Amino acid sequence: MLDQIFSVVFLTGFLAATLRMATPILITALGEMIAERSGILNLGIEGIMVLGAFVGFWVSYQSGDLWQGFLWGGLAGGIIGALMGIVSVRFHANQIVTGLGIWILCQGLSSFLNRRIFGISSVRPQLPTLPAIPIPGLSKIPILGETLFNQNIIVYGTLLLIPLFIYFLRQTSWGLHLSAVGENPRAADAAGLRVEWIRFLATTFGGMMAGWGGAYLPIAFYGLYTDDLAVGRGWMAIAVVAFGRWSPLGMLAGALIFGASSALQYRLQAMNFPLPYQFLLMLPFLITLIFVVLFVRGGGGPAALAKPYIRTQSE
Amino acid sequence: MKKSKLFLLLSGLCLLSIILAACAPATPTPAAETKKVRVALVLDGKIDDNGWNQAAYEGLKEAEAQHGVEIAYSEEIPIPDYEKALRDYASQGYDLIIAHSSIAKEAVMNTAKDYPKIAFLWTDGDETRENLAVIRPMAQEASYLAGLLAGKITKSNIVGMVGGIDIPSTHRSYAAFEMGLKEANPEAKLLVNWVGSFLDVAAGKEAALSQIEAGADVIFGNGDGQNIGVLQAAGEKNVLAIGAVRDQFNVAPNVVLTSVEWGFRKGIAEVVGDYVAGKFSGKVYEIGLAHGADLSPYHENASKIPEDVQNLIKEKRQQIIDGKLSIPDISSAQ
Repeated sequence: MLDQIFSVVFLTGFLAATLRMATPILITALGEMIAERSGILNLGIEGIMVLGAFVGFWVSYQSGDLWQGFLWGGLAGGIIGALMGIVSVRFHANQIVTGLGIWILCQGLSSFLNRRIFGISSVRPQLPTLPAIPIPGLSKIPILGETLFNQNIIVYGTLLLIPLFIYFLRQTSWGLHLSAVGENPRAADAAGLRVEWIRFLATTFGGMMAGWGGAYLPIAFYGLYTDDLAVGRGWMAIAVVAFGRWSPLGMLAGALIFGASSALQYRLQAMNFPLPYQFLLMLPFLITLIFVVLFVRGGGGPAALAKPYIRTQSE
Repeated sequence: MKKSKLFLLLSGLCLLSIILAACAPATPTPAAETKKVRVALVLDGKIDDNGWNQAAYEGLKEAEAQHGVEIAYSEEIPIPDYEKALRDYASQGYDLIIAHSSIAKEAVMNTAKDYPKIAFLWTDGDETRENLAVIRPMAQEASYLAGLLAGKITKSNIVGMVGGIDIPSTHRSYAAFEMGLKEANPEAKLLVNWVGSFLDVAAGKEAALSQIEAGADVIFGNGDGQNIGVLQAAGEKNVLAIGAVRDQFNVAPNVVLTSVEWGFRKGIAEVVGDYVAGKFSGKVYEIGLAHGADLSPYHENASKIPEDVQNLIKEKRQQIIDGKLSIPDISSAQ
């Protein structure tokens, strides 16, 4: 069994699958991190991913252009994110309840639209998926080349977002404003920041990223839409944000650990690993939990997370 | 002021969800005058799952076309609500009610007892009554033939099976497939993945890809919706594949050799036909090879199967139909 694990074919496939499964979670988690840093906990991203997957698939299918589908998947997510923003920022609604409401709304809406538009057919409509773009030279490196440099363009784009987000959060005044609003909205308000506006924009952006995270699934990998395509990934993204302690690098690690343990689970089963399959299916969650217990130390996220800010009320 | 705006918004959302719910395909209200036989189908999953539920729906449609019955269906009924759904149809006076869920025993037995004048059909069930017939899919027969096919056609001697959840109906198929495989090719190794879902296309695809990496050159997808992912992975990697439950050729026409059909389409149409002809009784309909639980046609991929293999399958199939060969029904892990 060990010689199977340390073969080139196994490692290449394993690492490629890791990155493939981590990408949609990472895209969504990056957006959610921005929303959470502004103080809004959007639990609806699970539903927004499903909606993004549907809209992305639908527009791609109708227009024959994957990029249009990807764009609209994000826009649909942005609209729902804006709805979350209006309800939780303008009307100070309880964010947990609103987020769960948005989750259910989006799931129902996607499955309703899917049935209305595509009906019940024995042949499911399919799309050609985004091709892998090997990077000349680098993709020839054994094992790592195939994994890192022979992926589709969205995977590259997501990896490039990490340094961009780090720069944004640490080096730009916008990034600092965002954190200020999430840590102490009253002080930020007193300093002249427009708290409500910043929170609204951050939540809209978070929704858009979740829409893209969802749209990635049919467009980059599966080529079809089912109501269950995105299931569970939104919750995973919320967990990854906390796991990575609201920092892009930590979230990258979290998404990769989850991706790797999922990829490993399938491969152990295929080797007829002598454990019940139900145990192996649990493995990704177990490994993630162990990592959280061992390595995630210290306090929580933004101090004002999930707390509505009402200007006219004192605390 | 703010409170009232919030209230307005929330009530707007509520209204929207009610409208959306009302737009969903509802049960057609029966016309009182018609003398047509009315048949209802209650599904525990989505009707377009490309497997278990869709096969039953196709059976209902076939019954409608062949026997001119009036049909209605409800989908995605969770088991706790199953009895309520059955009773709804019974109180509306449907003549024949089909419960398409092997685990809804209590709901089926209770309702059938309370409505003795109404006929019930329980697919993959294990108990009958005077007014309750059962369809027993004998999927082990076609699965065994599929195993023979896989064993003869593999070049790497590694064959993969990706199943949904390990329950009696899928286990039966898996066990018979392995039996056929070992008989045709004692050298062949079977890789087994269960993905823990009948819906998760993504999991099906990942599991199949990992088997293909491990050297499998024939993949048997054993389940419903997740099979789309399994067959799609095989199609992309150009690895031969076998579908299940209904003819899944269309999912990956370049590689799907055949599918192990469970025969619900013909089986349900057969029972409805019996009812219309006044021959319904609370018996067990064994749906095996002779009744449509068969291998699907090879379609365009017949040329990929050598003639002697096709003949072997034809021969064994005939032996099973003639009763000379019986495939054991091993439907649990023990």
